[in-house]
Amino acid sequence: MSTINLTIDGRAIEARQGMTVLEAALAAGIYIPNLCADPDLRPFGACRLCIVEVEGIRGLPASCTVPAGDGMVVRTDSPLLETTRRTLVSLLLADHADDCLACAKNNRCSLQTAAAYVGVRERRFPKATRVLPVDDSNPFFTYDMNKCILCGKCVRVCDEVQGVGAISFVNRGYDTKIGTLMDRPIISSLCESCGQCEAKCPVGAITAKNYQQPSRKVKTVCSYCGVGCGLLLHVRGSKVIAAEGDRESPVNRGSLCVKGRFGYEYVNHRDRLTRPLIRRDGVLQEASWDEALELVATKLAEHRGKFAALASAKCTNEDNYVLQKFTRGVMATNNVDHCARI
Amino acid sequence: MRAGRHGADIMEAVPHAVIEGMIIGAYCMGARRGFVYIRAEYPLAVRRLRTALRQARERGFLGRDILGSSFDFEVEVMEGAGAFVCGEETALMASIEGNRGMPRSRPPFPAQSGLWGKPTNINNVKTWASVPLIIGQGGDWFAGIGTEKSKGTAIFALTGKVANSGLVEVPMGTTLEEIVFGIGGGIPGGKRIKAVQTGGPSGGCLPARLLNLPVDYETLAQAGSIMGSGGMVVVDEDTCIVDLAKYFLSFTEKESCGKCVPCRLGTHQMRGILERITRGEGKLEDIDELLALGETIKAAALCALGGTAPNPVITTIRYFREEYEEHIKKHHCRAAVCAGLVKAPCSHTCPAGIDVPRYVRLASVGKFAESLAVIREKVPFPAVLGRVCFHPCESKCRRGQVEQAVSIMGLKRAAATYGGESWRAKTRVSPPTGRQVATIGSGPAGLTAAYHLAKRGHLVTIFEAAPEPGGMMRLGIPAFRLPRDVLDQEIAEIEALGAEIRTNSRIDSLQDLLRGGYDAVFVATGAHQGMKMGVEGEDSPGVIDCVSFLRRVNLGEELAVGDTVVVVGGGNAAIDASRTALRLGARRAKIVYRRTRQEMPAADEEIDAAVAEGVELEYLVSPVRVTTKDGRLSLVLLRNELGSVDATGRRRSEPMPGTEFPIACDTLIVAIGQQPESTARLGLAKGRGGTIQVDADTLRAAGGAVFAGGDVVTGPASVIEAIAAGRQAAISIDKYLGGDGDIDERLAPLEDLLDLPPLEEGERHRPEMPSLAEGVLAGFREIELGYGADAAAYEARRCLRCDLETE
Ligand SMILES: Cc1cc2nc3c(=O)[nH]c(=O)nc-3n(C[C@H](O)[C@H](O)[C@H](O)COP(=O)(O)OP(=O)(O)OC[C@H]3O[C@@H](n4cnc5c(N)ncnc54)[C@H](O)[C@@H]3O)c2cc1C
Ligand code: SF4
Ligand code: SF4
Ligand code: SF4
Ligand code: SF4
Repeated sequence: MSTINLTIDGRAIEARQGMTVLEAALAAGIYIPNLCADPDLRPFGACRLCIVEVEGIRGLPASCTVPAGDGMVVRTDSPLLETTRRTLVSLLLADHADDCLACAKNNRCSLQTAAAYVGVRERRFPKATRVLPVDDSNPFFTYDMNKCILCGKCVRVCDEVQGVGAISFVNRGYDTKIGTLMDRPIISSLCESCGQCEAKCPVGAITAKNYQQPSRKVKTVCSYCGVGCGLLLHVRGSKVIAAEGDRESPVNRGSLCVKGRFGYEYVNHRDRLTRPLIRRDGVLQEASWDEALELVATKLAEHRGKFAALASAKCTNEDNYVLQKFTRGVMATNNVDHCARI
Repeated sequence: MRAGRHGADIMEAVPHAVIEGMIIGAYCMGARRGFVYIRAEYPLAVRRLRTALRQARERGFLGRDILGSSFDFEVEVMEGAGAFVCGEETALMASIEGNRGMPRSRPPFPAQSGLWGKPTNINNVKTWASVPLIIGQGGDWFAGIGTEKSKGTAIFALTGKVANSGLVEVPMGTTLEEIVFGIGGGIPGGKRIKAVQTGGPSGGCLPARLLNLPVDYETLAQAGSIMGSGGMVVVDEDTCIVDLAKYFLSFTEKESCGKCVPCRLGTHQMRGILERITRGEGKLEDIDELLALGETIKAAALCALGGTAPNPVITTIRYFREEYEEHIKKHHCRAAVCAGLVKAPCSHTCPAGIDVPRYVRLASVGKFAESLAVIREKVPFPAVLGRVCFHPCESKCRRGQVEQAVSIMGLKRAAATYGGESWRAKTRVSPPTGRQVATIGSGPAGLTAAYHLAKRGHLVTIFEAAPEPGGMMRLGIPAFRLPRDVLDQEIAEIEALGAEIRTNSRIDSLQDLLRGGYDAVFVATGAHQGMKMGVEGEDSPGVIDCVSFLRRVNLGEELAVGDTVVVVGGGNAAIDASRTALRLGARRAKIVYRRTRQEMPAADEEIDAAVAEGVELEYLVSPVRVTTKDGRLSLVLLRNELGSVDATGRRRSEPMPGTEFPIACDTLIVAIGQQPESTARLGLAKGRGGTIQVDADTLRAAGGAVFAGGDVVTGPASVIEAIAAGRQAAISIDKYLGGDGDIDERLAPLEDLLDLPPLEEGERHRPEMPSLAEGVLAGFREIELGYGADAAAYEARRCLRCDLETE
């Protein structure tokens, strides 16, 4: 891919053809505040925080929607840009429920970051007085549009990445908000509860229920299906408290489905089997691994030729391959099937 | 292609031209599909367009292989849901694609990647409809219309306070004036034009004084407006400029697609600020905040909807800042529109804030004593005002929108006539403060200030240069409009409170007064110097300025005016001079005025009264020179035509060369205005036209103890404005002398609102004012006789009680 050369804040920058000015700047380590830009989503240009001055272009274009061009001269900081950004953030703050300390996104919120960066030090506009209903219908996450900054990331990820289109902008003007078809509760919409929107929401407008911040994150692979999505399990002590899509995983690049994202609770479930059980005298009783394996091996040997195997979609291709090989080669039968066929 | 209102009109009238233009355009560009995007609210346009499309298909002008050219083209009609933002091309395309009408950033431009990612060309209906004409008649023909940079014609939807509204097509470069006055027929109801909003809700608001601007892209942009969607709304003096800005901004606030922060939230905050200002909760900093927000929105909004939304606010602040400040500082809405500030339009408009609805209501049940007391709560001249007030209140009276305004002035006179003297019992006079105040001038301003200051316990001396007190009420206004006993009576009330009037006492030095023991001085010396015409021969014998003329007559001189008197001017003074001349024995009196009756500053009733007495009027003429022959004067005049509009919203007169003609007369009275006599001696800061400069809120002139008000500050105005200035001066001086400045009092008990007679429904006309039948023959006896008590009560019941209206 060809490279282009541009100047940002007096520095000569190399960028890849096709990058936006914002991407080029960020890649070169020049921070421009932004709220609606996202590397996984198409440029949108709604929050206007990433405005810059470009020689030869009138006004203050949003760098997230301006393709980086060869020879371009860009300024990311000037008194005009600073005051404009401060005004924009002040406008957002006036329209945002003041609930930071009790908010699930506290300390992870992009609006906080932006406000701190542009330096809003006063309440310039009177606080919004409207109160929008909170949609609590989904068992995994909550929609609280009182905190929404209308960055559109949720709408776009649902449409562009998830291909579902359960949510959209509804109404116009100041009354614009994120909603479903006919403004029904999210649970009665097309929504698949994948939580992709929750993961993208930069503020506390869409939050996972009962979310707590982890003490560490553990990189792993989702055990639900054969796709093998990369997971970062959020862990406190020895307890898994949340799952996050691993953006570095080439399989899912951060995306997850409802099970991978929200179906982690079985890990800590009290009914979960952690030891093998053997039925003795009609009752399942705990046994050691050696005992159990011994028993299975004996039984399998007894059943050669009188055997069928049912494979699972939760297993990887490799596991399923080994299973059919074992069935045919060792158990001497072609009775192999798979749950997804039933 | 897109169609708003005027596009719809074109499509209703000449849909074939639109289709032809699109076919030609498509052929040139190699396009194969065309769309007409039109709001579903224009069903007639949709139907006619569909018919025209069918006809075009039938004749082979659309479809495959058009006329054997191997060129294919089809046109589809898309009906939009009427979102304003869909006029923005990227939102329009999103809408055609079936998505939410939301703009996106360009690049990519539609020509690179438009509808469904295909190169797309978007133009207005009018543009396409022009294409066949341009192809047919050539580009030079088209370029010949309009101006250097803006070619062709502009189409406007002319609406608002204009006689003829509707769609107007003019060559680019036509002035606003030609559109509003020429085509639009001017402003109905004798009102003054205030501003024109061009470019629809996101355009700019241009003041009357810019009406001579040519309408083209560059000029409008320079003035802060746009051509925009071609809206043109004319507003008159009854429109509040802040309310207007709020109205337009609320529209764009609602129509914002909601995508970007500056437009969605910025317009919301701006509207909130405007809302607060119109409720009287504004702060002066709000004006700067509006401008700052406006600039941010303009600079940072994604699309042109947001980029232009602040225009009405920015331009109204640019051209009408003082109206914003009035709302904020004085809680005053000069158009009497803003519901949060205006209890009743009449009392709001009264410069002295007289509680009109209350005294009118009391008169309606025959309680004239209380009615008079209510008037007296604010002013010491009920009987004078009941005869000569210019009654600005009536021009805003809501009843005027039904038949005629309530005769607020006539009812004031009735209260003064039938109200007796019981009000006096309740007036409160504070104990003496030992402070001394000098008032220079005994006109309504000086006397009013003296009245209130005396009641606040200060010792007041009024110095008057003339031999008798009253200012212009005596020296200007003739006795047939204001009998001297009426004036004397009300002045006597003021003297009775202890204010001393020293006539024949001209004051030339403020220092002398201050050194002589006065703690504060109020300068209210009026405007008594007649203006000169500046033409040859104006100093000839027989030529006299109006103020001197009236003054001499009013002080008892028997002036001989001869047979024919000509008065130059168009104000109330000119009218009074002509009527006085007739009473002095002139057989003919003629007023010559440079504009037309519509522009005449004199009150309509006064002009009518003069005409009824036989005064002749000659319009659209200007004096050129005065010559004298055999003891007779000859005034040479030049005919005028009406030209552009001036700062006051009236049209200027422009002389037509070669139209000179003389008229002969014995006396020529020059009544083209007055200004204060040289105030230089008083050593105060000078304003425009020889006036004194003061702080607008306190009336304090430079130098701590000196205040000034009335005509000497404003230039020639009115009795009621002078009274209002006197009130303000009394408040400021009382505070300056250590008082609390509270000059208001309650002289009438609060009404029992539960005991009101029901509102009169239905049409009901103002009774005619009875007057002396003899007219001029009655000499200087008062012409108008005032309402009888029953007629007054009847008239008072026409009041709609705006102050009691609950929202
Ligand atoms: C012909 C005419 C008709 C009018 N008709 C109407 C009408 O119908 N309704 C209406 O509302 N208004 C009318 N007006 C206007 C109105 O009369 C004035 O606006 C009003 O009187 C101004 O009041 P004032 O107190 O400021 O000054 P004035 O009334 O002019 O009083 C100023 C006084 O100060 C005195 N003075 C000046 N210099 C000195 C000095 N150095 N020392 C001492 N005294 C001094 C003057 O002699 C005068 O008496 C009319 C004006 C004119 C000329
Ligand atoms: S949970 Fe998934 S499907 Fe549901 S709205 Fe969010 S992104 Fe769309
Ligand atoms: S809910 Fe969150 S992601 Fe969606 S628009 Fe609002 S702030 Fe953006
Ligand atoms: S400027 Fe207004 S209308 Fe345009 S994109 Fe932004 S929010 Fe939408
Ligand atoms: S109708 Fe009555 S209250 Fe209303 S403006 Fe007229 S006089 Fe005033």
